[in-house]
Amino acid sequence: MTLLQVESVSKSYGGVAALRDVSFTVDAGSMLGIMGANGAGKTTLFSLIAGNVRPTSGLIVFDGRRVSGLNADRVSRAGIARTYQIVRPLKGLTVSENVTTAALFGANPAASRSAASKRAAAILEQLGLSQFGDEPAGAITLSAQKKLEVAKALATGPRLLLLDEVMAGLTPTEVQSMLDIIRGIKAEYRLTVLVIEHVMRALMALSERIVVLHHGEKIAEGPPAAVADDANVQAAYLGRADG
Amino acid sequence: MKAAFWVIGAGLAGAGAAGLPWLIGDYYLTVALNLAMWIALAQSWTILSGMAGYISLGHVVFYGLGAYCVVVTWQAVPLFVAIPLGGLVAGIFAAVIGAPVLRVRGPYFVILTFGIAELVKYIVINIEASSGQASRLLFGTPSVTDLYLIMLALAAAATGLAWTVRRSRLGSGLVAIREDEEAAQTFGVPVTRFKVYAFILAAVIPGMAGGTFVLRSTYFETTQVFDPVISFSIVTMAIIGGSDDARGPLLGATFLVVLSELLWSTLPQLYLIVLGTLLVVFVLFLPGGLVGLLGPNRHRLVR
Amino acid sequence: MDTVLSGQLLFSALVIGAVYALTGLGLNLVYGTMRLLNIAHGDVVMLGAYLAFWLFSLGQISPLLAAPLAVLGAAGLGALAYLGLFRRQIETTPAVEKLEANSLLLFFGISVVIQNLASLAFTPSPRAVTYLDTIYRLGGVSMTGNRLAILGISVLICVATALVLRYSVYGLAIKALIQNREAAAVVGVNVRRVQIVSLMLGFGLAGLAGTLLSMTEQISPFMGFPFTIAAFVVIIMGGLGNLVGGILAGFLLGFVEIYGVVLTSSNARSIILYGVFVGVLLLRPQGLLGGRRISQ
Repeated sequence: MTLLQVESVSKSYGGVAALRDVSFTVDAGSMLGIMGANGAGKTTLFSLIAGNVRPTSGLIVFDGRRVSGLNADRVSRAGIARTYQIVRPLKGLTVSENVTTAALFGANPAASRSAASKRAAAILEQLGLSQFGDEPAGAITLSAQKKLEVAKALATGPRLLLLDEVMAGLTPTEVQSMLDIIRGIKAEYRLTVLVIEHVMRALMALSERIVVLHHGEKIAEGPPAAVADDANVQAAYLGRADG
Repeated sequence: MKAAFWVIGAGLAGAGAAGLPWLIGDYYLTVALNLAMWIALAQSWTILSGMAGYISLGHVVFYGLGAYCVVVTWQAVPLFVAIPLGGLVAGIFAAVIGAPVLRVRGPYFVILTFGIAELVKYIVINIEASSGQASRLLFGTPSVTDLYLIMLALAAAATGLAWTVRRSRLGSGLVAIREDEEAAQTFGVPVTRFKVYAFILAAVIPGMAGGTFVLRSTYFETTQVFDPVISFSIVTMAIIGGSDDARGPLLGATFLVVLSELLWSTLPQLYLIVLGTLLVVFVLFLPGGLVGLLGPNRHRLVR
Repeated sequence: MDTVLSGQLLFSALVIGAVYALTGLGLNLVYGTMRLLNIAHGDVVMLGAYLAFWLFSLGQISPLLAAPLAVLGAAGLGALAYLGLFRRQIETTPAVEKLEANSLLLFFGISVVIQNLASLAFTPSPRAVTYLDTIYRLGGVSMTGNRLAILGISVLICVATALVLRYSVYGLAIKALIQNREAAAVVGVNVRRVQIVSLMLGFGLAGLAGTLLSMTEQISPFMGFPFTIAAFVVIIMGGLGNLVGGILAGFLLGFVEIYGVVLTSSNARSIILYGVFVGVLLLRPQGLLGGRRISQ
């Protein structure tokens, strides 16, 4: 069943079009990859879906309800959670406090602070962050901070999770670990996941389908193998002979 | 065990404070009245400005509105109605201006609150001027003892309110807003609503405190109850004391009252000079305030 | 209707507008290059006014001659403030917003200190300087010499500043710094030097405004605040960091104030000033002529 519908969505910033007439749908329980060069509009797409910005035109429908135009907190309560490409931990709080706070809000807010704490502890355990629980969130390693982003998003109890370049800057071992974690939480929390990734092998490994963006437009969509063979995609990444 | 200790300690302190009028003379009782007032103001202020980081430099506006409300209804309405009414008026004002005002970020919010306080001040001055009264005289005001007991209750209420909010879901949301408002909104914190709630909660007790304190003198002057020095003192108190938990405003208020006792009667300007210098020193070197010196301080008002 | 259209009012509006443009320009220079919200700006104006007063009453030196001294003195104060206080803040605070908020509190403390030091040193009673008060008549409009001087000098300075910004290397450096500090540093702008110069210039302009004002306004230790507020209105209306926009906004504010008072009453002057201040902050986050956003 279709969980998310992005219909002819465009976003312009004062004359510069970040996204132009992008449309696709996402089935419940699936994992969709978003691919594209820097500046292609991927993060803008996430910001639109999560409600951080409003589309200039077009419609976004989540679980049958229109979410485009709603504030980010309402979108979060509807069941969509996102991570930030440039991590945004709540630096003045510990790692545990970060996740506990997130657990108090969102689509499935915890009934009490102790319930939130318990949920946070479980999530930290799953993501391998338990040993950092009492550290200030600003003081941990980048890879731990990236996991923290995921933990916070997860704590809100979403149905749709938007992961924005969570592998960037990770070593190959860390990438593999993150891949397993993502698959694990998707299964356990029965999530639908959208993944933006530059680390190509991770994107290909995770995604059932991929949407390719280029200069704000969708140029291809399909299973990873088909997309890799697509002439438009190759032209965009490798350049055409005629410039 | 620890909780029992705190409860007993607070109870003893409360009994001692309530018994003061029978232990000390009127002069020191007035000092205690001042202290209770500043505690009530500073604790209330931290609900928005400490926890969410939206520093209000115009908090006197709530104080002044409460005072004006009590003065205008003086002798037409019994005191136990007038003072809460003052708080209500302040709260309604906060509710009405809250949403648009809280959309302004950072330092512009700070000067905006200052501007609003001055604007309201001049409007009230004009209202009073056009009704032909430069100041009003108040006859039959309550005794210092009565005022002190009311103010003590307000100080306790403010401290309790700040403590409660800090531990509530609202408090967690406000702290998240202070750390990173957009990220907080992304994981579901209803930022606008929470900021407005905090604004209202931070306004009500100062409204009542203003309504109470204005009865200490027999005349009412608009410039006094809307004096920006009051706003300045609250901010300085919070920064010197530290605003991260209930102890901060207590420390800050005590410090300021002691300082003012030492300096005000001799040279009021010197008191303000010292205060201004302390603000500068603390902002530059001790952003955690005195409370920060006592223990690890992660949630600082000034970074 | 006659009064509203009178040249007299126009002249008053221009004079006040010129002063506002001057103070706004000074504040914009400081804010634009360093992101410091100088809430003590009006107090520098006050110090300039007192300097002119003392030089006049003790040495019979005209405020016009005192002006360069005031500019130098204020500039020196600015340099001191930079080296003593702000350099540490600017270089240790990573986030621009935190810097802005901290600087506000810092300047507020400084403002309180300056005002009360002045009150101690000069006593709170207001002073006045009578100078150049011969009246000239031109087409039914009476203009005192001092107001003409204020208008003339302010306009001159504003035009000169605009030209310097446009055509000199320093001006270019200042504009680059205002736009983007890191980028300016990358292309070779000596950030620290330009910042000090801008700060000194900004303070100097405030000191100049003070000496000019001493000829027509009452001087008291607490006279600075309304000028600070006006300067903030001006820089926000004109767009933060938009120096030419600020100059235009200054004149606009002068007109709003004068004509606002005529249409309502003289009691309303403060209400109009603070009303515009609050209104501008709430309604026009990007200023009338474009600049940085201040709200979400």
